[in-house]
This record gives sequence, structure tokens and C-alpha cells, in this order.
Amino acid sequence: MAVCCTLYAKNIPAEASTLKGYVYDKNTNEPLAFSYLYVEDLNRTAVAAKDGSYVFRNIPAGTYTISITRIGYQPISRQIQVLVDEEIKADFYLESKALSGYAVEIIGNQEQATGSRMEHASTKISGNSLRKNLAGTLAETLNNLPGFDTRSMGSTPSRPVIRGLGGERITILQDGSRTGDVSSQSADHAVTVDPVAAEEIEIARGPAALKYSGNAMGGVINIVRNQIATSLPENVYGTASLQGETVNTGAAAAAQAGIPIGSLALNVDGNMRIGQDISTPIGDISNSDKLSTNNAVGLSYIRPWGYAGVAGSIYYSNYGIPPDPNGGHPNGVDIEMQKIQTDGRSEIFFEESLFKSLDINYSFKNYYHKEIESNGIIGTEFGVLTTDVSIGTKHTEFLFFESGSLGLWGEAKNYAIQGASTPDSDSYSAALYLIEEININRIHLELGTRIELNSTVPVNSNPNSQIGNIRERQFTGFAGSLTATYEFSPGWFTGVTLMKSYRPPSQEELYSEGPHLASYSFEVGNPSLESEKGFGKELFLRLKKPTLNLELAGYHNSFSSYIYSRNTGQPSVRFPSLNVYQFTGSEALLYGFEASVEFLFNKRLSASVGANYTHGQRKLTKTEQQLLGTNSNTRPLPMIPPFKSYASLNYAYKQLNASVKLTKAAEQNRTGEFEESTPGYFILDLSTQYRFQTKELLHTLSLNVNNLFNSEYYNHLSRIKDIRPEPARNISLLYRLYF
Amino acid sequence: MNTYTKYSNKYFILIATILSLVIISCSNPASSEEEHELEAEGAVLILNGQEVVRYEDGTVTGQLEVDEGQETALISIFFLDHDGDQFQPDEPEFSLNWRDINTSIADIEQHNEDGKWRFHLHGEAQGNTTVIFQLFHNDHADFETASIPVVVN
Repeated sequence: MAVCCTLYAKNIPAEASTLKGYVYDKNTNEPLAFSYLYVEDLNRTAVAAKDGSYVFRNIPAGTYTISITRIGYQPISRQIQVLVDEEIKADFYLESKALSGYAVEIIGNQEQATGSRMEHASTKISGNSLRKNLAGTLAETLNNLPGFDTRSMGSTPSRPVIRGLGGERITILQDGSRTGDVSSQSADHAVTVDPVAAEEIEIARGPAALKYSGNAMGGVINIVRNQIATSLPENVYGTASLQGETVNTGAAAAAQAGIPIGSLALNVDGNMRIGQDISTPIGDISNSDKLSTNNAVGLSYIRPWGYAGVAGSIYYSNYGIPPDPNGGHPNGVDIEMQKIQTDGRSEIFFEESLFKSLDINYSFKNYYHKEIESNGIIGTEFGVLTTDVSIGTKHTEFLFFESGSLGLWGEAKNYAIQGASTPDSDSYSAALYLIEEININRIHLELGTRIELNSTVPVNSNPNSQIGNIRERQFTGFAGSLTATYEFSPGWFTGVTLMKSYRPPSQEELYSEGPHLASYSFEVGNPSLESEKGFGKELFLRLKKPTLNLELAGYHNSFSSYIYSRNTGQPSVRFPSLNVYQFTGSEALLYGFEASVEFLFNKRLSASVGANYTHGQRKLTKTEQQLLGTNSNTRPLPMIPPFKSYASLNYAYKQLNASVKLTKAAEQNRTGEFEESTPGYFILDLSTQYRFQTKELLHTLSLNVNNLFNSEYYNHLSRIKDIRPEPARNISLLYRLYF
Repeated sequence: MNTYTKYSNKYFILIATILSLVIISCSNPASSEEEHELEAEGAVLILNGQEVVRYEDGTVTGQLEVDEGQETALISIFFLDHDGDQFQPDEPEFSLNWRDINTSIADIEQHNEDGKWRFHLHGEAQGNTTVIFQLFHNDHADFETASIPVVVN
């Protein structure tokens, strides 16, 4: 692919143009320091200086979309045309508004000159919204987005669930690369990224997700840390954050800086989080304390032709899993986790060529965690070595495609467990993806395809294993997605998305056999599992007006072999204090809707309401029907979130932003096998943010109160929902300094 | 060229640090080359040549008994494989462990000279408790029994 791109590329820019200008407050004309500018097509960023000025150097000729965000202001996007060897001046004016929906914005913008170029179902959370929702884990940070829920098990291990889909169906990335942890396989395993380090968080479903995985339906979440800089800063810049919270007497600190050194950009960032046991309205959850730290350094060489960089990071975490009074581990389990990661990335830009750019990524992760029983004995150890490599290119207008990207991705993963009979194994994956965009009058089409080959090889085959014939497995799959968006009236969009998803069974789903104390389970894999294939449909309606945002979406996702860990209700013979959880594939169906409306009464006050619902069920086999004595051929899937709705008021005045939000969740009594139902609940949250600027510094303060009335409520997606409620009232204060 | 020379040491240190991270992180710390020949699925306890407790197919039959202030003769534990055959692992990395016994009522005593699969039960005070035996492999359990009743008369 690199050779092909190079052959077709007429000109790798040796000298290129400069884009510069100022960012101002639209109402006062005051310069807006610390505005964040992002050239989407080139993946380059800049931060405005104290006088509001910004500079992008070495911009190849072309037409680019530049988006500008700033704390307390409505983000905007504009198209800029850059000619060869030219200095372009462009000033931008941002407006302060109370409409919080702009914080969770759709990438792309209806204000662009032509077409409805909204990239369907791609959202990002940054700035005000990120600080307002910033919690101790990624899942809690995203929990307020429509359709999002949190699978949890105590304070630290939690993972996002989107429209009832979680685990392996949600791919989590850091700077575009897979995290390399085992958070997708079990509720007690934490995600190895702390949201306090995120510059922004992107979410993609549909065609855009196919660049990273075949999970078009569940989606992809990317935590942007920019460890490898893509553009050269004019000056040293960065942030420093301090956060404290009462619910676990916890604290977090983080710092990040970008430093220009000649043609090099050095990025350093580090963070640390500590917390004691979490309190609930009925008492503390014992052994729910935590400590984690994540530190990274990256160096990037930036020239007119593009950039090349390397980064290294170390993650360490130590957290407790609460005791299980019903067996398993009556005193709790501690998990000690570490990850060493190295990344390399380069992107080369071409001028006057079919191909706009070529990007090459390499990432290696060495992940290890051990689960330590209360007497100090190690229960289970997990080790995963993951190497990812990808090469991709973006093209300009070609045939009837306006733009698109294609690439190759490969991954090798070595997986090992100590403390179980699970054999060590390797898996190898390779994929080819193609994502294209077409505009036909007022219709915007995005289509994506991904073909993936997977091979999973146990170190030792065992045809007579107790879990079945442990052997090498090979899978081939196709994932595809099409989104059509039609702007039938200015600001009104409707459309449809079709998604075909594919994922091979993971190594743990195929070969697991052993106790997993921290998740109260004895896990049993199935070496004969087939790949999981799904077909999803979505209809949506959106309105984007200056005073009104509306989003309605209905979806229907069916799976031919939905792989999940089924609680058999039977104690393990080898570990009778643990129930057997059997990985199994079943026909399944998930459908539901999301709705949200946000109205701006005036420049200061806005209100929003929303709701989402997911119905999940799986098909019963004839044998199961006979065993259960039922005529129904379906049964609810476990861990499906209940109906949720919310209403909030947001108020913005000068540098102050305040909001109050009431969330209501219904009772969830559609439960899977041996799963407890959970009652409905109301919770009220308050949030206040204040920002002020001194000479060369921007300061923000965020004061949040969650669960104001100290309600006792239970998250249906918590693995310990039958014994522990969710946290009590929590007051958190976040101070962030931008320099 | 001057710029390169000026910063070369810093760059070298930084790149060397990153490369060293790659090098030290290339083996899987949880990897095990060992192959387990026999896996325990049950256990029997033998006292004076008689089977006093059997744990098989998830069910415990029998109990351990001792008088207050006394200790039993040596009790041997044998593990049961998938076919129900008895075995005691020979490898040094395997050992016997136990948990959840109320030591104010009864306690387990092991002596080196008796071997790692034999033990005494000592009665501390009249009452009932339970014990779970574990087959340890290095520092983790490969197998454990259900709770076995212990009676001190």
C-alpha cells in the first residue's frame, strides 16, 4: 500500500503553506486564549496563545475542515482552502451559550457550505462536558450520554455499555490503538486508561467504526491523549489538574505538557489517582479502595511532509474487589495491574494526488495482572502481549466518491493465565477496511467494509479436554455498514444505518477453564464456538437549530451467535464455592430507542429531556424449553439496562455555568438466568463550573454533587447489585489550569 | 546540523528509554510451559485405613471427628481424577493447603516427617466447624473441596 500511494503521489510537500489567525469572543471581540483548533483532515492541533493567535505551519495545499473549541463556548467548524506556498489568514468568532448539547457535538457540521456532511453516530466529548462528567473511570464519565450505561464491580472495574452491548462488542482505543487489557472479558477487570488524562473522547458507530474493528453495532470509543504530537506547538503549553471527591475520600492529579524543540515536539503526561473504600447510603463497601497511575512520554518529528513519532507509557493500578458474602471470597480480592506500552506513528501528506496521506501505526502492549486473595495467595494471573500494526491512506475525490480511506490492520496477541487450566494461546488477526463518502444532492452516504481473518492457536492442543476439543481455530468474516443521511429541510436530518457486524470468539471464550475468584465464577470456554455475526438497523431523525436540538433514534440489532458467559447456576466441581459460567453462543435480539431534546430559552438558560430503552432477549433451544418447562422460545438476556430518562436545566452567565439533572431509571425485572432484578430509582445531580483567566493562565473550577439526596439505588449492570448499592452522595471538586 | 548536535544526547536518552521499555516487555509474565497431567475433581480422606470423608461430584459424604484436647491419627488425603481414580501429586510444586476452619474449635497440624499429604486434626474445644482443603500448585489453588464438616466432641 505504501508503494502504491507513493507511486500515485505526485508530490510530497517539501515546503508548504501556513494557516494563521486569531480566535475572538463573538460578542465582546476579546481574544480567546487557550482555544483548541483541530484540522480534521490532517489530524493537526494548535492551541491559541494569550492574544488569541494561532499558527499551523507546513499545511499542504488542499481543502480542510477546521474545528475550534473553547471552554464555555459553542464549538464551530469551518472549511478552509489552502493553496500552494501561501500564508492564509483566518479569524474565528466563538459564541458563549448555555446549550449543553454542543459539548457533546456531532463531528461535522451542517453549517458547512455544501451537503449534510454529518458523520453519522460519531460524537466527541471534550471541554466543558468532559470536565462536568469527569469521573474516576471511563464508563462513569460517559454514563450521561444517551444510550450509555456502566457495567461495574466496585469502584474501579467498570466498562461502558452502549445500547445494551458491552464487553468484546465495544472496542476501546487510546490514541487510535487498542488498549491491550482484558477489561472486555470480565467485570472485575479495569480499563487501563484514566479519563483524567483524556483531551477528548470520541465515539464512533457504523461505517466509521470499521477502521478499528468489525464491531459496527457496538461501536468504538477512542480516548485522545495525543501522546505523539501531530503538529508543532508555537510555545510550551499544557494543563494541570487536581480533583478531590468525598464518596471515597479520593484524589486525582494529572499534568500534561507539549514542548517544542526545533522540529521536534515532546509530549509528557502523568496522572495518579487514589481512593479509600466507597461509601453508600447503607455503609461503606469494604475493599473498594484503589490506586492507579499512568505516565507517558512521546517525541514527534514534524516536517512539511508530515510527522513521525514514538511514545512509551507505563500504567499501574491496585484496587480491591468487594467481598462476596455468599461464597467465592468472603474477604475480597485485590487486583494488581500493570501495562507497559510503546507506540510508533507516522503520517505523510501528499499534494495534488489521489491520495491525501499515508499513515503507519505500531503499538506494543505488555499487560499483566494478578488477583490476590485476602491471605496473600495469588489466585489467578493474566498476561497479554499485544502487537498492533496498521497502515492506511485517505484519498481525495475519486470516481463518484467524494473522499474515503482504506487500510490494512494486523494484530498478534499472546494470552496466558496462571491459576487455571486454560492453555496459553496465540491469536493472529489481519483486516482490510474501506470507508467511503458520497454526496448526492441533499443525501450524504457513508459506506464501510471490513474483511477480517483470524487464527487462534493454543500452545498445546487437547482433543480430550473436559471443555471439548482444544484446537486451532480459524475464522473469516465480513463486516459492513451503510449510513444515508438526508437533509430534508434546513437543520432537519433523517436517515438510516445498516450494519453487519463480525467478531471472532476471543481466546478466553474459546479456551477458558478455571476459577476466577474476583468475578465469583468458574469460567468454562467452548472451543467449538462460532464467530458472532449480527445485523443491525437504525432509523434516526435529528434537528440542529440555534435554539433547539433534537435527536430520535430507533434500532434493531439481531445476532446469529451472540457469545456471552452464561451463569449455569451449578457450582463447579473443582471449586464448589464458585458457579460455573459457560461461554455460549445463542441467537439474540436487542432493540430499543433513544430520544433527546434540548431547548435554549435564551442565551443563559436551556433545558433538556431524554430517554432510552433497550430490550434484550435470546432464543431458547428446544432442550432449554423442556428443562425450563416453558412454551416461550425466548428469554431475557442478562445485564440489560432498564428504561432510563432524564431532565435537566442548564444556566450560563459570563464565566459561570450551572446545571441540575434528574435521572429516573425504571425497575428492571427482565432478568437472565440466576440474575436479580433491580428496583427503579431517582437521583439528582448538580454541577457548577467557573472559569477565569489571569495573564497567561486559564483556570477552571468544576464543583459537582452526585446523588444529592443520598438515594439508595442499584445499577442493574453491576456485578454486585444484589449485595451492594451504588455510591452515596458525592461532592467532587476539579481544578484545571491551562498554560 | 548544529541543532541536531545540541539535542542529540537528550534524544538518545529518550529514545533509549522507550526502546528499553520494548525490550523489557517482550515476555508474557503469566506464561506457563507446564502441562498438567492430572487434574483433581474430588478427594477422599483416609483415617486408619478407612475412608472417612469423600468429596465427589460436588457432594461431601462423611465428616471429621475428634475429641476435645485430643488429636487424630494421621489422616491421608487422596485426590480423585476425572475417572475417579485416586492420586497424590509427586511434583514438588504441589502442596496441601486448607482454609475457613475455626481454629478455636479445631486445627490442622502437619509435620514434615509425615509427608505433605498427611495431617492430624486437633480438637481445641467442643463444637462444630468446617474446613476446605485445597490442592496448591505453586502459589495458587488448582482444586478445592466443598466445606467438610468437622465435629469436636
